[in-house]
Amino acid sequence: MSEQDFFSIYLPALEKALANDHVNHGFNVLGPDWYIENKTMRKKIDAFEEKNFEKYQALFESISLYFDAKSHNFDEINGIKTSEYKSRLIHQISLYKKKFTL
Amino acid sequence: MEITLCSSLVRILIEAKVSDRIAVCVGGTVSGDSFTGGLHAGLKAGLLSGGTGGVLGGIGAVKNNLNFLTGKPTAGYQHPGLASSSDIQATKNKFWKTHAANTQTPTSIEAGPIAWNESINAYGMGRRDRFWAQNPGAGWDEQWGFIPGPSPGHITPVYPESYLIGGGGAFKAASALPKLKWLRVSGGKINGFTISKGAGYGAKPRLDFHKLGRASKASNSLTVPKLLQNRKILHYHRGLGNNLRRYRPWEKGWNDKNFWSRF
Repeated sequence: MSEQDFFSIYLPALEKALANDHVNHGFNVLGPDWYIENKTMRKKIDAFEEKNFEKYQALFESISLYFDAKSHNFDEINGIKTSEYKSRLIHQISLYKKKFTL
Repeated sequence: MEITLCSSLVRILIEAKVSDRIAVCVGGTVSGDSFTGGLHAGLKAGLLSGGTGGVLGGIGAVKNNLNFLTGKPTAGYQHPGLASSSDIQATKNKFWKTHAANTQTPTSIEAGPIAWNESINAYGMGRRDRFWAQNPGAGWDEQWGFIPGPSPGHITPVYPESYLIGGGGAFKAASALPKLKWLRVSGGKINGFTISKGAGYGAKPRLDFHKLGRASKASNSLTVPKLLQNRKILHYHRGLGNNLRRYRPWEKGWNDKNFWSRF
């Protein structure tokens, strides 16, 4: 899977996940992978994420920490309010969209 | 509300006949990796042995796998996703040798390839990385003392403390003591607790006690015994990225190599 393909699927799923981050399924706010319904595609996304984790570590970790915090009702992440953290994530999404012309 | 875990930990350690590790609560430094890495190894060893002896064996393994006093990475324990501290430093050195001119904090990811080091730089981690590159023989204390400030307009470093693998200093040790903190629903009602180092709640390795609804990742699955379903369960979080979100040891990963991967 190319980076272009990955981000064309992952970023919209991430946006959906952020839009629904107020819904908590018992200590679990669904991350972007839950919004990729096609199982085959989800496996490809998972594989890409694992293979390229170091390359996009800052992005993947930010996303993971955000949803972990939302799942557990934490107010902040390393001293940053979750609401502020979310707005920064949204900013990062816009940068990646620009980068990959999505 | 926060309760320092120190006294409980001392009691547990005394009961477990590993009282020589009480230094943990007095002046030692608990690094994130040591805490959960030791727990991981201990649980594994304990379960392997079985019974009371197994539990004591597990605690012994915890004792052997922790390096509280120095805060250095535990010998033999490898952080998931990161081979070893020397490898990390080698990677950083290599990066800064080839990017010697890169002293500016990027304002956009559009400037070039998004290598993870560059991303980290954009997130304000550059100063410490450069310090490591310029001082390849620097000790942990020196590195620990060189904590970069946030880069305005960018995300402040978001790495759990385990990634920093630093240590040293009584002040740091005191602030790094494990603490018990209540977990609450949005209305404020207490519905569990979490134990982790420092004052903050998330974004770090920790021991949690709350209900588990579903796996943290769509491709993973929860393997909670029927007796414990819909009850609060003790579990822990460790690692980086999606690994940190996993409800260990109850969650089976989509690409786990074997049973022990869930620990």
